[in-house]
Amino acid sequence: MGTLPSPDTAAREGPADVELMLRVKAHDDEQAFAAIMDRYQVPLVGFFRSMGLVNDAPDAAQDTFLRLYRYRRRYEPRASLRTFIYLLARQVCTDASRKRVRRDRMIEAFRQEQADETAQTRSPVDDAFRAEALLRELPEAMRLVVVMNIYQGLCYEEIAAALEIPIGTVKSRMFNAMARLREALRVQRQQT
Amino acid sequence: MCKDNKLEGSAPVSCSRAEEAAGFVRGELSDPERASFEAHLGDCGACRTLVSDFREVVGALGARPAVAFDPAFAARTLAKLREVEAGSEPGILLRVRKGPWPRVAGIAAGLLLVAGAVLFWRIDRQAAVGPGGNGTRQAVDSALAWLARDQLPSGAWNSARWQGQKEYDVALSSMALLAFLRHDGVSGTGVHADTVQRAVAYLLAQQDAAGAFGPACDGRMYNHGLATVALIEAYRWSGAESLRAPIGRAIGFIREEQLESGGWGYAKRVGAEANTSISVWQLYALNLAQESGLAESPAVLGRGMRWLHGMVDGNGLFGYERAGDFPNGSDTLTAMGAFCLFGNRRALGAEPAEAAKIEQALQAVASHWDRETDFYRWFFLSHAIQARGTPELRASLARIQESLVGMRSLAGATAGTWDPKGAWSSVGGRLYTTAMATLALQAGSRSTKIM
Repeated sequence: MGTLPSPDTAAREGPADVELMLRVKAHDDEQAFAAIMDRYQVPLVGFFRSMGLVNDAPDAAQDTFLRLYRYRRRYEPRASLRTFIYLLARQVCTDASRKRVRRDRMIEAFRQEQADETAQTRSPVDDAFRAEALLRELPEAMRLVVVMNIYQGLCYEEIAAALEIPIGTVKSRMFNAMARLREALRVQRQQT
Repeated sequence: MCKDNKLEGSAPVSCSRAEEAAGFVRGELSDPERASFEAHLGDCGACRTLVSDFREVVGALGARPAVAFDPAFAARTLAKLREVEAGSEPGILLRVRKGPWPRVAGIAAGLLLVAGAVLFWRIDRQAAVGPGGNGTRQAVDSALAWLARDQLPSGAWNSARWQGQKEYDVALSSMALLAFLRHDGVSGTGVHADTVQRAVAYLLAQQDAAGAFGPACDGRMYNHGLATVALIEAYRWSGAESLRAPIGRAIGFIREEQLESGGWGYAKRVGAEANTSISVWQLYALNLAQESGLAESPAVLGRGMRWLHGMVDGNGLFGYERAGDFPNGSDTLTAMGAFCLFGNRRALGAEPAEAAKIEQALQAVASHWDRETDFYRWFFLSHAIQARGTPELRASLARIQESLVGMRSLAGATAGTWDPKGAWSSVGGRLYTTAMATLALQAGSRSTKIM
């Protein structure tokens, strides 16, 4: 099974994830825990933004780390720490679901204003809005798979572990999500 | 031949292998799968279109703005973590009683009961389940689980969180540690090994240059005695040679603090009185260190044991500062002294005539054991009974343990603990009552001899 380079595993230095987490598990080592947070902070904030939490992404990332610490005794070195973290991140997403719905409505209104004002120009920010508009076309289950794979660099196997679903379900969700996004992209381009 | 592949919420794609297109674009196919799909692409226009479109989708999604690294994030989260772990609740803190541990015999006796009984003297423990049977074992398990959950990342327990006094964090953490050590005991492979290691690390960090544990408060010798006993037991549990030096310094401090009379009191100063409660903790530690091959103190130990013998009156009752001195009754002191003398396997234990009187006094304490709520007394009594080991006393122990199991809180976050009630609960809070009760239930739980 081939895997893509992982944005959140690139250019790591220092002890391996497993070693750090075992230190946290065995000794509540705060230095090791801080190193894990430094390592995963950016990917997690990015993940939550992609999942629609936008301004609350840093808080959601913090919540994920607090859960990681709370569940540190359950960590087993045979499991990837990254997978474990995203499993917790998914739980944070689920818990924040209602808030996100309300927030999405507000963001939608804001976006509409932005779109009206800047419809004639194209910039990286516009691209980001477009990408997010595309993602909003997806139900959460599909969006999780797409974000984890494309933005977070998790392979199907890791996604299956993080979402606690069969790998076949990951494949079909990914395919269906890509097909929906293809249609959404087509519509988006027709509109611009 | 290609067959239609129906998509959710989209037009059908006229190929049964269409699903592989997403995996192909994302590099998720194995080498043989990829080679096969590449060959298929040469024949299937629908899949070629899909691959092309999916690549465009990935390109469109790839424009997510970068996230800046926040250098303060980890520190902020650690601060939040400590806040959560400490569980500081203003409502509870406001109820904490301030001030020194009362200088009364009962308190001392209670503390002595707790830790002293655990390790110092011989305790014949029965088969895998104690006199209370499965109920006893389950009660111990659930209490330890609560204690493990309540342990702070530093390895300490926060007395103030549970209505105890913070200056006794060391003593109360030592009590909790002893309960775990008794549980995992000989094998050292118990499920709470991590809890034990952290608690030991915390205690070691509390030792000052003089070898003493805990703050320089009135109750220092309680903190010190309990911590020393707990660390010696941890040494016996783990065999960790790194504990030898700090234990040696701790024993040195006990030697230094011995009063002219041979006992120990609240502080070593001119005119200071020794009392049974504080002395038993120090004797307990000295004897345990000697039996464990860690530190020999025959002269200091001999003088201390002679002082303790001097506390016994003609009825086999132990006094507080002298024979016949019972500021808070004689029951707890007698249980404590009996534990000390019966548990001592060496020549410094009770002589037959004295032992008979002490046993009679102990039997009397056991017969009305629940007259007052006093977890110190119950712990000490349980282990004194076990140390003496007569059938009548053992029958009493079974009744006490059965009753203790029935006293547990069964609802809410404190299920499996004992509510802070009775003597000294305003000093030690729920940590004290739960650790004491757990230790009392552990009397007779195994066939291991402590000493």
